[in-house]
Amino acid sequence: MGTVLEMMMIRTLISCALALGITASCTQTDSSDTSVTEKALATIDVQSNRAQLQDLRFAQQAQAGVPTLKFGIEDLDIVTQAVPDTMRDGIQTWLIAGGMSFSLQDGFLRSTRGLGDDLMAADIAQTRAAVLGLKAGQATRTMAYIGAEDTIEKRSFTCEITVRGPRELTINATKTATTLVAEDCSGLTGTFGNLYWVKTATGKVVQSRQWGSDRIGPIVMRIGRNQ
Amino acid sequence: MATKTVTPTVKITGGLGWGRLGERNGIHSPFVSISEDFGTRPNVGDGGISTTGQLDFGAWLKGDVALFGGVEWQATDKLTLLAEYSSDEYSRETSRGLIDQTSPMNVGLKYAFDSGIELGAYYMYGTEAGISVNTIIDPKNPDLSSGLDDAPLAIMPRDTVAAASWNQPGAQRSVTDVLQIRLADQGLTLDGVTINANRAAVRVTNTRYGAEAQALGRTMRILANTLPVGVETFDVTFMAGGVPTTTATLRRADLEQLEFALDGAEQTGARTTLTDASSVGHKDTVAGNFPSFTYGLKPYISPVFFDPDQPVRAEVGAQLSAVYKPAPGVTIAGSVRRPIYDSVSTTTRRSNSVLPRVRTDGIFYAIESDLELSLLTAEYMFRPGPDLYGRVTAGYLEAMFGGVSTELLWHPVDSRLALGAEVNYAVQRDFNQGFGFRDYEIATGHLSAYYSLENSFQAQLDVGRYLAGDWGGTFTLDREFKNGVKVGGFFTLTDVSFEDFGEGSFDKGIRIEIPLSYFAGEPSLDGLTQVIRPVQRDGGARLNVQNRLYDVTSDYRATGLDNQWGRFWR
Repeated sequence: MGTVLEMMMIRTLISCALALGITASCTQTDSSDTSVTEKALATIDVQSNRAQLQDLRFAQQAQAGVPTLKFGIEDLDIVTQAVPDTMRDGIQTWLIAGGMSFSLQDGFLRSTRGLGDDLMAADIAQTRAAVLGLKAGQATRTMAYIGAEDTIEKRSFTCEITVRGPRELTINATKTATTLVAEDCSGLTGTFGNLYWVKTATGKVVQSRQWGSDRIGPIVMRIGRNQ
Repeated sequence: MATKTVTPTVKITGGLGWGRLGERNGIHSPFVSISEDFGTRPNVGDGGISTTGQLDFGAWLKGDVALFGGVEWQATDKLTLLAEYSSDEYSRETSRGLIDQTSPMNVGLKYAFDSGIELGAYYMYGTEAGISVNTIIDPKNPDLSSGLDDAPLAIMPRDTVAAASWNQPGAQRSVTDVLQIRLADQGLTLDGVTINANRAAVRVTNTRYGAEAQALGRTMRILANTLPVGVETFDVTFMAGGVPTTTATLRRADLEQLEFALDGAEQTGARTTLTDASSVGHKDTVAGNFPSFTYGLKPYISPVFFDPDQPVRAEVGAQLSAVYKPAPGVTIAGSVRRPIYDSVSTTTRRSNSVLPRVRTDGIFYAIESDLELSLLTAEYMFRPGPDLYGRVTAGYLEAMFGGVSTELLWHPVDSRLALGAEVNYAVQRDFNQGFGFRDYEIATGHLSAYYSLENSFQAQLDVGRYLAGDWGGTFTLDREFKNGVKVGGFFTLTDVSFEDFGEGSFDKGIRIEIPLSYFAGEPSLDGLTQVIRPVQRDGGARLNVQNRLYDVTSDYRATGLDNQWGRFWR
């Protein structure tokens, strides 16, 4: 019982710190593109995820001092730390407490699991090349979902990549120079917009807001400690 | 009848009704100018209750006609108000004292919540008020299309697996132990495992996933994350009813390549080989699985529909069940029921059947039993040969009959067609549902053909001898939605005449099966199954034996696995 309480307190603290941290860090950027991200992370309630404390895999990793990723989904009232699970062929799978996971390739969302309307797979090769290369232009992306009757439904989008310019973020109390790149996608089944902050020094995505699915909506994430 | 949308929020409906809808302020039929025949309505009740279930063509559009109408006003997005004038005088219901109607006006309102639940209130007949709660189920589109079940394990790089402690010489925990623990964590029971240098075979029982492809995907991931890295090919055999059904074979390299591929599910399907597992047998069985004993206490509800005096009757109570499995394929099962609330036995209607009363005496089973032995059977399932399944069940097979039931099923892995034969010797049980029997016994059985049509339709034809000794056939058509929801209908025609059959003329009904996962979003093999018949008579009645082979095993054949293949990587 003591452990449960302790972990709940830790979680509350992490969540508060995350919300506060992002709020503070976003003051350097203009309001049009980041206010949504800011609001998403600042206003999310502290929610206890299903079965978090029983999630052994998550707990083990969380205590091991591994790099973390701050992670929030406004539509699902989730704000938490993700811990790394498996890295294979350039794809990193992250665990979220409560039996959920998602996978990133260089920071670009490739899949989610356990979120109810999961992104089963995504072809983001063109987006990834354009964003990391800070090149404006057009990219095509395709995303796969479990549709009606358990068949895979693929949705393709044409995306306009625009480089919005330099933005300074405060990440883990360190000022970080980044370039903000936007991806505005439209397709037969809808439209959505993604944002990527690419760190100038490393050329890596350090913060992003990426659309998951109709039910998941936008996912916000930024690198946490030990990265 | 016609409906007109007057404004975007107001709909008006009006119509002409004959028969019971022509009772109030009825006028002479306008069709008498065509033929005098239309002026008088023949008495449709002439044939008595035994002609129900047949169409009364002769009465259509005949007799007095009256006007009815209604208005529906969608006041807001969520609130709808309704009012109607009914030309139905409910004369028969009033004469039986079921309804007291003082006004032809009925009014009501409906309120729709965001959750999809609709709350209604109504005031009808000038005498009755009520509320209703409705929810609409769209079997094709559950809210949580991919479900809320826990994320699967990501496939690890091989060097990580190679470095795992159980893959080192002299490891404390064996590979089998690790497999067993990891599979159990995912709702999969490891029955057996054989590991060779470059190929491994496991037998598993799926206890959690309605989507068999998902169970396969999870098993394959665990094999890839556990087995020695030299093992290149995985054979996964699904067990059902304690017997091996189908073996799915996939290369480890294909799993690694396709885990994150956009068309990963499709490609994995193309690279998976399915073979019949009749020769797999029970070798290398994991220690500790047998014998097994499980028991449970849970509530039950046993409804009876459409009694003219009370449309829904039910017996509700507690059920204690126990299952003992001494060896693979052998099951001894029993359950005892204790009714707590019972509105079935209060009916005053008694059977008027001229056939052996194999079902219509059901009322006496409800009246005379306090503690019901609802099931006590010994069952053996086996694979007599390639593509064949066998079953022998003996004991108290169901509430009203005991005896011996034998069945043989032929179902090749990739065949849409399956054929079965069932032969039973059944003896009617005592009304008190104890150990005794009555003096009615019958040899009954069927030849069955099952066919998986396109679009998830499933047709079944059973031809044979029914419990009352009548010969005939039952045709069943089900639609199984890929998320497990099943809706279907059936009818049975036998050599019993419509007259001898009695009310309803022949046996028919609908069947609805909704898996729990549809509502909960979490995977589960549990669900709600309900057969609804307008009336249960003695003709065309089949023995309700448990675990018919097709139901137990067909989900693991190609058509069953294919149906939900989109969940392989879920």
